[in-house]
Amino acid sequence: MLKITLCCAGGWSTSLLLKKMKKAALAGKIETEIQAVPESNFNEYVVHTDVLILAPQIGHMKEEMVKKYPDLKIMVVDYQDYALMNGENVLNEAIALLKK
Amino acid sequence: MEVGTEVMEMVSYGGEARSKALQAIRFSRKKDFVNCEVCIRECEEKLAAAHEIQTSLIQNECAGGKTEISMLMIHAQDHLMNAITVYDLAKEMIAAYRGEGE
Repeated sequence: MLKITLCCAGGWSTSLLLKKMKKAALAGKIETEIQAVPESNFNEYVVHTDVLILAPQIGHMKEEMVKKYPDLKIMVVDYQDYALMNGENVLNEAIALLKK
Repeated sequence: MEVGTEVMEMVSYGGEARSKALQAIRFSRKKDFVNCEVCIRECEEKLAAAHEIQTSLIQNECAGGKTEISMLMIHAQDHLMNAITVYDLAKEMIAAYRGEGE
């Protein structure tokens, strides 16, 4: 089970990406647990996270998050994937990151 | 291009621009003005792209076209406005870190 948490400033635009990623996971028969939360609430979701995905608007927080959560795999969504809401790309990237 | 995609592009470009502006400030704080400059350029590129979409939406409306006002659209405007503000302030802060006077 791949546990992914998406974070943005308000958890609003990532909830759209969440839908697309769930769809891609279903299509690829990949077992996942994905949630979208505001960055300020993330500490409540750490235990449910293998990969933390940051939206482009909070990409500047990556360094800070890496320091705060050294055991998590952390990535920033490519702004083009975000613009096009390419859930499949983002999911594949998360899977690749976890295998690293 | 459907409106949903355009609006998401505005969120994404605006968000990326804001992030780059903040990174630029951090680089300037560490006196790394080379990377600071790179981030500011990237920020400007993304702002221009977001602005272009906004302009096309406005022009479309001026030409009599109807634009659907959704929560997502308002959210996108919010992102863009926020990015522009952060960019403007970033330029001021970087100048200060560079030690530029008046």
